[in-house]
Amino acid sequence: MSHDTTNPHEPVAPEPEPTDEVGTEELTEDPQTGDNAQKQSVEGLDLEPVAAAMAEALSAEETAPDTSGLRPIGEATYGPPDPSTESVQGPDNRVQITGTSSYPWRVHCSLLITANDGSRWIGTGWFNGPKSVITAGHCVFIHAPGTQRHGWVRSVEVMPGRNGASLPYGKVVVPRAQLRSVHGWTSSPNHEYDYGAMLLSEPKGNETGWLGFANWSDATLNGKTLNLSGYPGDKPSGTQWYHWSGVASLSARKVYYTLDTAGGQSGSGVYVIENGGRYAVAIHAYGGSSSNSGTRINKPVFDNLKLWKG
Amino acid sequence: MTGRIRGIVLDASGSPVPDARVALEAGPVPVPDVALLSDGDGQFWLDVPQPGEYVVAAHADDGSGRCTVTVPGGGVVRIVLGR
Repeated sequence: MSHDTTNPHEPVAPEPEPTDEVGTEELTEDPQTGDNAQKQSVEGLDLEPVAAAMAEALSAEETAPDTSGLRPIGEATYGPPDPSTESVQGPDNRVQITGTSSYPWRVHCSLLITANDGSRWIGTGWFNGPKSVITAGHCVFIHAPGTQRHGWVRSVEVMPGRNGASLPYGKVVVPRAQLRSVHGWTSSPNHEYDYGAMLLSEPKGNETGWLGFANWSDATLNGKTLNLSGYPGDKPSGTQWYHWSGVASLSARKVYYTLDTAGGQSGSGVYVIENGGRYAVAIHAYGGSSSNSGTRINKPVFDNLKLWKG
Repeated sequence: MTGRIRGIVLDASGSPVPDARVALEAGPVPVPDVALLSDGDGQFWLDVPQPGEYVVAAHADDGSGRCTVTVPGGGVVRIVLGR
C-alpha cells in the first residue's frame, strides 16, 4: 500500500523534447576583453592566430610516408588495445600557450578542486562575466554514492591565466556555498546536464575579460571551427594548451568534436570565433571513442549562464 | 558508478609519488576529463561508470606511466613512472 502524501491531483506535464531546448531564437551574450589592451585580434579568422600559424607551417611541411596501415610498435609487446575510448584523437596537435596574461588566454582558469573527502582534483574553468567562472558539473559536484567523496566539493582554487608556477592574476578560493550546478546533474550523473559555475566574491573578470556565449542552431554551428584552451594533466603541471577542430556531430544537449583533450580539461569553454568575438557554445566534459564531447549551450543552459553572470 | 579502481603511483625506485595527476585515459564508455592528484602516500581511487577495461595514466613533472585495468578486478594497481 502506498503512503505517498503527494496530492494525486498535482498537475504534471511531459518533459520538453530535447530539441525544444535549442529553440528557434538564436541568443548571444557578448565577450569582454578585460582591463588593458593585451589582447589578440582575430578579425577575419575563425581560429586563434597561434593555430593559423601552425596550420600554415604544417601545410608547408614535406609529406611523411603514409603509415596509417601500420600497427603501433607497442602492440608487438603488449598486444592491441581493447578499450575504445581515448581523449587525444589521432596525432596530438595541441599548442602550448605561454602568453597567458593576455586576452583570450587569461579568461581560462586552472582549477584545484578539494572534494568532500579531502581528495584533490584538477580541472578547467572560464570567465563568462566579472564574477562568474563556468566549468563542468563534475568539477563542483562529484558522484561517488556511499562515500564521503560524494556531493558538493569543499572548495575550488581558481587560477586565471596560470602558466606553470606563474599566476598572473593570483588565485581566488571559492567556498562550497558559492558553487552552482543544476538538478539534472546533482540528482544523477547525466552527461547532458554536466555543467556548473563558481561565483567569485571579487570582480576578477574585469581584469581578465570573459568569453561570450551563445545558443545557436545546428545550421549555424555545423561547419564552424571549435576552439578550446585548458589545463590538461598529461602536460607539465599548470600549463595551458590550445586546440581546434570542426564539429563532429550535434545533439540538443551535447556537442561532439575531435578536439584533443586529457584529464584536467573538464570545464573548458568550447568556443567559436565570430566577427572578431569569442563565443562559447559548449562546456567540455568527456573523452569519447571517436570524438570528445561537451554540454551544449542550449536555451536552458544559456539562461543559467546568464543568471550566474548576474 | 558501478566499479572502482584503487592504485598507487611509484617512481622508478619504488617510492610513492604524491600529487601525480591520475586520470582515466581510455575506457569502454566516455569518461570525465578530470584528473585526481595522488595523496601523500601516492595512493588514489577512482569510480568508473561501468565494468570493462580502462587505461589509467599518471603524470608527474619527472615522468609518466599507465596501465590497463579490468573492472571489476580487485587488488591495487601499481603505476610506475618512467621517462
